[in-house]
Amino acid sequence: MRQEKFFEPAISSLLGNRKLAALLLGAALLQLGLFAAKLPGWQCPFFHILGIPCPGCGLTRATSLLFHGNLRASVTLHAFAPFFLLVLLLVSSAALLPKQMRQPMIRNLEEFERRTGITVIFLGALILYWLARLLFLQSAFVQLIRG
Amino acid sequence: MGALRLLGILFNLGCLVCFIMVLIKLFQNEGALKGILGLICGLYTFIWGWINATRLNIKNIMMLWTLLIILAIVINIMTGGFSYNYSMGTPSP
Repeated sequence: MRQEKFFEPAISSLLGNRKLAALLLGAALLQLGLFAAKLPGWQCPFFHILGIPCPGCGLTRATSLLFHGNLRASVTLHAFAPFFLLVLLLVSSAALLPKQMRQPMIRNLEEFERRTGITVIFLGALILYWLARLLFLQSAFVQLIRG
Repeated sequence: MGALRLLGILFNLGCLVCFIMVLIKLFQNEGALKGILGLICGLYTFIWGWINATRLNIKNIMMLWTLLIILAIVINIMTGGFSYNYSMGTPSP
């Protein structure tokens, strides 16, 4: 029971809500599109007010760099960008695939999350990565996000 | 221009307050994992907030947050406070 609670699926339950997945996909594409067009999009309130980058700061630029095939620069900006691109692909699949293909994918992902705790590990690693950059490389981190 | 920048800061502060309020609701209703996801991806928190606005009685907060986002972007454009580039910054030793 304790293991089930610890390894609670989060990504698959998110993907199970088709409306949410479609809206997320739309918002992500809009954000990337605005960035590509050099227009203002979603801005981090933490960074704007406190001057402290949040764990997700830099992901838009890093994902855009990935689309341009610049893996090294992308990972330098945000090491988890490739993983977020993978999540974006899963969200796209959940939003666009027909029911017959979508439901087995979500079921398999849920099983994978429950067995491995991959979401907990992933989010935990991301928070540790963010804290490490903030505590040990703060000025470089802030400069990187500021651009 | 100074007044505009101050206004921009106030709007962004409002956005931050709304974000934290909705993030707390996210943690309370969906658990720690999705709460952390909401902390990492503010867009998810924003969309989740709108989807659950009526159920959680936070429609006013969401409308205010949406308005503040739009106003903050407008002020940003007016003050030239945004710029996008692929610059990686100056590496520190």
